[in-house]
Amino acid sequence: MYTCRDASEHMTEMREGALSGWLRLWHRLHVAICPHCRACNRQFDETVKLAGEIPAEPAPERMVESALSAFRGRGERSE
Amino acid sequence: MTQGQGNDDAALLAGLRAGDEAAFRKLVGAMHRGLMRVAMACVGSEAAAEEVVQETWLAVVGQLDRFEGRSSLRTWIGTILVNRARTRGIRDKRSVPFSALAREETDPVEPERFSAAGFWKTPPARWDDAPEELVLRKEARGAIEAEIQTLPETQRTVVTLRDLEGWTSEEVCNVLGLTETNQRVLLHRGRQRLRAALERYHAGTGR
Repeated sequence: MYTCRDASEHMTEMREGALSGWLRLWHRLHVAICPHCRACNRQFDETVKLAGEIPAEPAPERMVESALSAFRGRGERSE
Repeated sequence: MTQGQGNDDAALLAGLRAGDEAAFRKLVGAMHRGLMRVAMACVGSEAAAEEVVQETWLAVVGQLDRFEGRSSLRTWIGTILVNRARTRGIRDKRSVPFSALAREETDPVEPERFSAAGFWKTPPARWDDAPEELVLRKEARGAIEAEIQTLPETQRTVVTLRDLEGWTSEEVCNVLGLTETNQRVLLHRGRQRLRAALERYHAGTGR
């Protein structure tokens, strides 16, 4: 029997398209009829969405400048 | 590598080879967090990781004309970084392969929430009102960000690359030397931990 634990364990595989045909079907059916797993599914969606909104710290300017200086040097060498 | 990504890479590469400084600056900025995370996982300290990232950019500049486009630009740059980090790790006597660490960090998250039969004992709360307001979303992001800092090294690296930086699973597997399955397990465990942290945040705000 496909359980809530199975559904919870397959949340990422489902999103990655990595579940085989039958498992994918069981997962879809289970999430459709189980309100708790539907809530879990929604929580996963929201978590992934929020994680994708976390802004990155900019690269330290000295590092950017050092890389840029090498990049400019490359341009000068190839002229 | 997807078709779209291949086209983007080709355009970017053409710009870089033509000396487009703005494109290079943008690339350095866009890849910084991901590269730092991978370097941190390999060498352990922030200072050493910064040096590795810096060396990587110098190597990228030096080898730009040799890149043949057989992988994505991100994979190529990431692989250069991992090779440099590995050399550095060996020098600093910290050379555990990423894939070896990964095997140790895949325990289930919150197993106590399920009964022996596999059904929810403590079900997740329904979030009917996922925060839309800017301030609340910022707080919720903060809760996730704080949890990311506490994830085991390999989960943290995979989650950062996949969910924060938008790398593909193929890129992550190629750069970190993970199998698809292992990468997915690490991503899942990391996401479960973040989801649990967000759930605690929601419980705290009474939403």
